[in-house]
Amino acid sequence: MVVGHRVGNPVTESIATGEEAIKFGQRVLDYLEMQESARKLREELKRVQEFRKAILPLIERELSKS
Amino acid sequence: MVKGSPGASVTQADTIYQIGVPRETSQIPPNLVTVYTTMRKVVKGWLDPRWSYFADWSRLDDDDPHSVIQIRRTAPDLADLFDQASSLFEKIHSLRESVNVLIEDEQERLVQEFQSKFDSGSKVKFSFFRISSDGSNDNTLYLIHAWMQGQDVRNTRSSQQGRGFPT
Repeated sequence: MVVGHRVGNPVTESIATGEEAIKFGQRVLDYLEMQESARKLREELKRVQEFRKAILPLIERELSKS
Repeated sequence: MVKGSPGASVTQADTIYQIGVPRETSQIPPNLVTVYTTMRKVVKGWLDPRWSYFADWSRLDDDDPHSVIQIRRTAPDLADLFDQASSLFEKIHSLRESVNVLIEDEQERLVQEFQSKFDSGSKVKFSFFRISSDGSNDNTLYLIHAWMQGQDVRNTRSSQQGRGFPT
């Protein structure tokens, strides 16, 4: 949805629906591919999975002592 | 001598049987069982990057520093990983904010292509973008989530339809 003006009055209107909306969203994601901070976010999220794998067994180890 | 008592031994002919030799086991205090159970649940939830967070470790340090001290003493390797994970999530939070701004700016830029639908020379402003996998507000696709999941818009939409992700 965008806010524009018609005959001087502000109107909120849908500019894309269905496939067009999907394409619009995809263009935004394509733009992110070129942005360093966006790529960095993905890299750091992969590290989360590494931490998950490392931490869970240690928690289990501690809980097994209870 | 009581058979089966800790450290007891029974001599039969030439054979010595060691019975019930106590083994050193360090038990964790009950308060840490609660803490670890909570942490376990949080860490398991990291499988879905969209809702991953880890404020629990710093919150525990604020609310219950004694438990944190206990963990640092009894499980230093785990405490170190909690420290590192906590820092990582702070970084992710900051990056996520930056990417949200990038998304908003790009959407604003793209909608200018539709200026011709409005008064000539008037400004067009992005309002919002919403794709729902089932037409309802319950399964809205967020671009930041699609990005974090490493998927394109179409695949994210499909996976939400298939798995009924809450949003």
